[in-house]
Amino acid sequence: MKNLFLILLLTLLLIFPVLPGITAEQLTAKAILEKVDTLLNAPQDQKIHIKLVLIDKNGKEEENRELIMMQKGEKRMGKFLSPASQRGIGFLSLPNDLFYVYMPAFKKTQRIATRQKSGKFAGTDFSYQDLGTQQYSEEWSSQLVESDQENYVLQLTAVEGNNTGYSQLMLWVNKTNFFPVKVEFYNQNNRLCKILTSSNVQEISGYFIARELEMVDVIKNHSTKMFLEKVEFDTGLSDEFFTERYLSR
Amino acid sequence: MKRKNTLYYLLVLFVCFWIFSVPTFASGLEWKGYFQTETRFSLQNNSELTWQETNLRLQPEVNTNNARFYGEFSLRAPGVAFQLPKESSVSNQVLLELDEAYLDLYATPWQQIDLRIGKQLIPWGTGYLLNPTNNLNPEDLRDLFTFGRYLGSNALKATSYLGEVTLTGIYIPTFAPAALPESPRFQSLFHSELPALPFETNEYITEIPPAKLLKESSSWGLRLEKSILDCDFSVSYIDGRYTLPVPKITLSPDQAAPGKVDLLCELIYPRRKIVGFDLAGAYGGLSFWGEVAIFFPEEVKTVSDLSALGAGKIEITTLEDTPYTKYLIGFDYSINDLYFNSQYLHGFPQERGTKELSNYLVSCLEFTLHDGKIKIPFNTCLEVKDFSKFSDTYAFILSPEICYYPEINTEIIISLRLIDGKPETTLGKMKDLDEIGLKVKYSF
Repeated sequence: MKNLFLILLLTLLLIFPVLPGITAEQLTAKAILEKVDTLLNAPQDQKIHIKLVLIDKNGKEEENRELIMMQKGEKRMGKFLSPASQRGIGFLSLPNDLFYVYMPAFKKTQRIATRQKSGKFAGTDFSYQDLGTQQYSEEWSSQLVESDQENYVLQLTAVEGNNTGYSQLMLWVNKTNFFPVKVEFYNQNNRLCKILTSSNVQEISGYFIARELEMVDVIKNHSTKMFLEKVEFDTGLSDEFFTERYLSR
Repeated sequence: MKRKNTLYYLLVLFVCFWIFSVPTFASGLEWKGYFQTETRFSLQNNSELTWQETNLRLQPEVNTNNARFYGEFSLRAPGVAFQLPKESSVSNQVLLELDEAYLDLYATPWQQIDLRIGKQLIPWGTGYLLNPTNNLNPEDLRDLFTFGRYLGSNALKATSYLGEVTLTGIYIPTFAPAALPESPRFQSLFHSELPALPFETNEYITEIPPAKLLKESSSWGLRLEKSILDCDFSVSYIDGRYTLPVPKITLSPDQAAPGKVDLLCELIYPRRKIVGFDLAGAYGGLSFWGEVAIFFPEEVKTVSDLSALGAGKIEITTLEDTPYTKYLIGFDYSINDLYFNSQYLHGFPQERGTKELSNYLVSCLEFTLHDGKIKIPFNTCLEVKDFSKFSDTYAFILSPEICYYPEINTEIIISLRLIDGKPETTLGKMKDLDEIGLKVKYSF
């Protein structure tokens, strides 16, 4: 009886510390993705001052670009502040794959095809799509392929109607806060084309955000670093702001 | 008329009052702009210099929450008189040109209405550089090969945002003609030809701009925009004048020289009404657009009595009042570092009347290399005046370029242009204008 009690006690002691782990491990890939979506889309709106640094294959910093980006739900608007040749260029991304670019040189707002969203964003290694609102659980089917001490590794496959321009993603999700710390992007030929790494993850006003992101184009051996220099959440941006009216201002 | 004038001045007074009532510009004035120099040589006339221009363009801007001032002016040194190889002379003349200067007011008493007052461009239409529905600003045709450039107009623009519908109203009180090439030879490309007459004539040509009265010189337009089924549509209406002159021919017997005829050619700017439609949309990787503009011109017709010469009454019509339609369809597509766009256009800006309208297929295939440091666009334009007589009515331009971006704000472009075709066509008339050019631009 005494031995049986000791065995039960030892078993409980062994099991108890890892219980949270087991609970987490039991999360399905879809549940993890939903938590990622919830985390990334938690703010009502956000206004971010972004600095972009382009780095060539020799590691030389080529040029800097700055822009202001505003986001609310699936709506997003950005305006370039520098360089001079791109100052004033704006873009507006709306649900249902509506995408507009304002070109100050032509004083015109132009409708852009969805697939062009997967093209380069102002010459950087990010695409317009990469900068957009991420609703992983809606656009990707997921499978948990690995789980180490820090991260879940999910394999995401594009579902029908996914217009991101990628066939597959590998997503590393931090187990503690469910922040996606690394994404591998695979092109339509299923070839690894880009790797996004998020660092300096901070909690600001109760929301998690990575202050530094690096996108590496592994095919061209070129990369872009993105620094989120000033971040404001829940500023009260109205839906009216995300219209062509404000894009051209 | 008097009432219209009063209304206009009341409107101006109201706007002035409103300008002074909005908060003063708190933030500082920001300047941006660019420097550009362009030189072109003929490939046919012993590499003669055919174009040289240096342009310093400055763009001041002030922004507040409720208002914005924007200006654009340039110091332009033409250098060589346009396309006059034999008569060209290097000039030290510097021209100061105000292209735009306007005030945007967002804080009007009507929250859903934005106002823009001042010299401005009004770029209607969805096409790329070619827009049959863009007819409010006069064309800037000084450089024949820079399509889609317009001159700013002093105008009042009110844009009303009514839910999903946007309504824009434009009023331009004064008339300004298009800017033509400096060379008379190339100006003639934009003029209707004088009729052939069986008489020896003394030609007198004079330009008659509209009278400086609001009724005569003003133009206005309305445009309604809405998105339907994932496409952006608009319908527009313009009541204005042609900005390229139309000859009005009057004949009379020469009293001093019996048998001869005095031909008076008055270059006038007849009125026209234009109904326009345009659309823009996207499907998969393809962006597409289209424009249709139906012109309702004022007839330009004269009846001259040459009974004294036994010719009776001669009727000359240089612009018929029959409506005619210009249209454009286009698309673009990009994949990786390759971009392609193509547009089919029926009716160039200078063409008027069903018989004059020609057909153009304008395309660009662009390769991007070395992380965007080099771009190689290959531009083509095929003109076919009459598809049933293709071999007699075609002309084309081939224009490859190499664009090099050594620094973020620096652009160096080497361009080549080859033109060939039948002389009856618009492009064919320019077949001796094969050129090679260098353009350097620095933005700041």
